[in-house]
Amino acid sequence: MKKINKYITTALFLGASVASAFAQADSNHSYRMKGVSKKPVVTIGGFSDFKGAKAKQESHFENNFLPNISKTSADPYGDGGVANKNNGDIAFGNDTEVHVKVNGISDLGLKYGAVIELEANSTNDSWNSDVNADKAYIFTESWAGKLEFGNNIGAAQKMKVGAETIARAAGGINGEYLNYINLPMIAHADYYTQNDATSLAETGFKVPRFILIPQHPTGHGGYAKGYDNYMFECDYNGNNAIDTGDETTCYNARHGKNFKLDFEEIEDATKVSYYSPRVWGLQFGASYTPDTANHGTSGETKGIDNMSIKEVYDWGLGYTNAFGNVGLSVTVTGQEGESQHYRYTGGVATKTREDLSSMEYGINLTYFGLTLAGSYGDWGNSLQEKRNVNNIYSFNYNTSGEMDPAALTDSYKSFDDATYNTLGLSYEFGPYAFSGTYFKSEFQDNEFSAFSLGVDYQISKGLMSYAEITSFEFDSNQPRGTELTTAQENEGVIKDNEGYVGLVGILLNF
Amino acid sequence: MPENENIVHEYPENPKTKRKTRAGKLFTENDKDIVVFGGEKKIQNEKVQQEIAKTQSSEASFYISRELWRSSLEVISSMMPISLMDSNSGLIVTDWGTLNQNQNRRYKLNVLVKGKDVSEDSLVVSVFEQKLHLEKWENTNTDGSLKKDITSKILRRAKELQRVQ
Repeated sequence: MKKINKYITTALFLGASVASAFAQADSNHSYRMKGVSKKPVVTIGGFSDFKGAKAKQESHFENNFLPNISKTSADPYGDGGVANKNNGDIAFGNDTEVHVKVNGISDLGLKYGAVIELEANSTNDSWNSDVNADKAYIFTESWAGKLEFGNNIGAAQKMKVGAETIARAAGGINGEYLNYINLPMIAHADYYTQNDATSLAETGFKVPRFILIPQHPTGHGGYAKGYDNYMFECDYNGNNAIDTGDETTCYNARHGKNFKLDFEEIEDATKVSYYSPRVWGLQFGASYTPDTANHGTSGETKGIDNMSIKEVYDWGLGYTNAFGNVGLSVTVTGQEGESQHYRYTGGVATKTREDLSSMEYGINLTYFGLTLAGSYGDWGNSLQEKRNVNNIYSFNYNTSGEMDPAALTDSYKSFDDATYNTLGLSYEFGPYAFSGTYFKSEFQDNEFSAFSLGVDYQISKGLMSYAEITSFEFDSNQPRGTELTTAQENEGVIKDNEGYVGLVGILLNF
Repeated sequence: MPENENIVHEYPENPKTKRKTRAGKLFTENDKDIVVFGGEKKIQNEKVQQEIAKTQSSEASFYISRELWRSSLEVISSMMPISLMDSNSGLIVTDWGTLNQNQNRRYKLNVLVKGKDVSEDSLVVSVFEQKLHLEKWENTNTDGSLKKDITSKILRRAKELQRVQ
């Protein structure tokens, strides 16, 4: 499958490049048409999106720390409990971007231009780590299709349809509400020594991870997310191996980033994409990313990585048509890539990860202002750590699948494919729009579900207010602590979370 | 490459951009960004502007496609001055004018919008060409490519206008 992907994509890129070259070289015209060619135009636009949020979570997540065994009646949360990220107070968020675009048409009809989307936030965005631009790419369009070169999402993300593409208000199951809740976590800090890199590497708990938004892995920051997104695998000295000294240095460098969701960390890695015109309703797209660690001008492929994947091929196939008053859009999208994380002990690879291979199927049906959509995604065992040939390492399970906190051994367990599905309905009526979207996922037996209702109202051109409420529920692959003491059982099990998040906001688009 | 209605040059948009697009744009017509540099010469002719404004008024009635009429006015007026335009008959006629640096060739354009649909069947574009020979303008045959380009540009713009509305 991998080789076929490479051949197909290579052929498409060559074809698109040749087609573009023909468009350039087409000199069949006996004139240069003044009205057709267009000198480059530079335009500016952007948006500012302000929102207020209030979350209601499980009580143990609505304080500064999770409870632990040292709690007393005077100090119910004691010392040493793991810190909560969001304690449920009202929070404000503001996301602002300024977009600069260039558009032109050559004398021979080739469209060309660039898109630069600058971040204008006063603090780092929790979805996108430390960058000053969200997207920056050059494009060309001819009769043969569109080419993009630079930092933008790939074909699989762009072309797919599903409930998340019809969600209104703040975006429903696209995950804006996730910024205001806590992910499941073990309570007692003794079982999770956050500040000790040595124990993290060898004996610390691996927290449960979840698929939180309906995206392929590169649109999900590279992997499932958990309370702690530190991967313990960082080729800090750049020798393509994870050596003993790397983890401590890497942990210290990335400490503090654990609370970020970082969904957008690698989706805009430098790539080349091609999109065909829609022919009889059918459209094809493909992208090639040599290394998800490449961003902007940096060709750095080593050093600090969250999840470096090489040779990533995105592809998408879509069909769009109208049958009377019913519109239909169906897509199949996929990703393939090579995992690059290896850990060596004494020159022998002791930890490797599965390669990337994911698929998603989506459908949209529209009838006047009503749209019904759904999708199914399958990550397989993409990028999951493997210990032996057929085993996938995850949480600190013993060979019976039970939590073994005393031993904290590096054990293994096989899991079903990581999957998710979405279902949604939206309706537009004049300046109003409503949507209801549902999402459910399973990753290594850790389940997550969310249901979101949203409404937005276009106050005037470029100004939209919205309100949204999302209920969520985590169901961790709760270990059965048969060997735990009572105190350990109270404090050592994973604290799941469920509740809801209310968002109200206003979007200005210029 | 001839325009074919079964081949559509539309490309997927970033899903997050779609949400912003639904809100429209604050300052500009047709939900476009603000031009800060470059751009096509604005349509200066006041009468042409008034005619275009009519297409956006619900009080004016048209027996032909509004989008096709408006896009024809926009495209043709950006190329050369219009000497006659009549929305009742759907006719646009230009003066003779040059299109590029070549001062030895000039063109005259006639456009007839004759239908309600935005399609090639509702549009007739005629191009007349003359070349300068011994200080006299002589009629000459055109190769058809200019006619095709004007037709496709008018149809493309008309479809854009249809999508916006």
